Amino acid sequence: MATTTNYSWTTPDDTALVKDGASAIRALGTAIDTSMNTALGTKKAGMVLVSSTTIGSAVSSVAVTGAFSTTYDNYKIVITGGTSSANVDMSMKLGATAAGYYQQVIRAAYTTSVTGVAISNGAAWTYSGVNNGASNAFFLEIYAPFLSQITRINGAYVDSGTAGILSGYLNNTTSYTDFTLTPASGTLTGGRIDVYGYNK
Amino acid sequence: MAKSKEEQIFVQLNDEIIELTGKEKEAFLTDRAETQINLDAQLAKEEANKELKKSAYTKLGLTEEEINAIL
Repeated sequence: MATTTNYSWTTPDDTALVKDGASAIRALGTAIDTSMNTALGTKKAGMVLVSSTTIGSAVSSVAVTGAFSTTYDNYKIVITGGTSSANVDMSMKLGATAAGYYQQVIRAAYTTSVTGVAISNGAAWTYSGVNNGASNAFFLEIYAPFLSQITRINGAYVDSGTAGILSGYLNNTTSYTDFTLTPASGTLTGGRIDVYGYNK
Repeated sequence: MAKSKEEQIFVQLNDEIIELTGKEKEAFLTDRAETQINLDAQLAKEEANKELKKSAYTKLGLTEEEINAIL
């Protein structure tokens, strides 16, 4: 009897009789059900990849639409790979909103003690990530962007000379589906922006 | 003096890359310039605060080595 590669679920041979099809499907279904129950019980996967956007060549900003929806309340946004033409901070805006962003960044060079940066009613979350020429560092959690509530963020600020944490909020209750990332100067090339939804 | 080649601005909307021209390009550059001004102001403020702290610690009689350890 043929079996699947990973879980060894039994599947009909090419020569199996069609009249045994119902039984074969039932046996396969039962095997899958057992394996899934062993692995997860009644739990669902905790995070789900919502969108994946490949960054083009020498772009000054990247807008991702349809990232947030009613399906999930909270999200994680991660950039993997890619390069930037300048060592600069990366800002983030939601939808077309250009005011009401509040943010604190607590950071330090690896050789000194902590300093802080504040954004009060700014035009964007100016310090959402950092580009370090050879790589981009963007790891951000965003809470309730689609809900009609204040949207909050927290994340990490990491480059080769400085590291820290960032957090903030957008002072309105607008429902957002889109976000835009813009380096303070220069361009981005390559890499991937992944948006994950937290299952609920 | 020869004019430098005008900067082209490309932005990405999901998988589509678009060149900004005219008013859209102007608005983008203005927005970016404002962001840079804000960033510079923040850094200047950060540096000024550091100097202020340094001055206060000096008045309190701390040595430069001690101040650098704190800052």
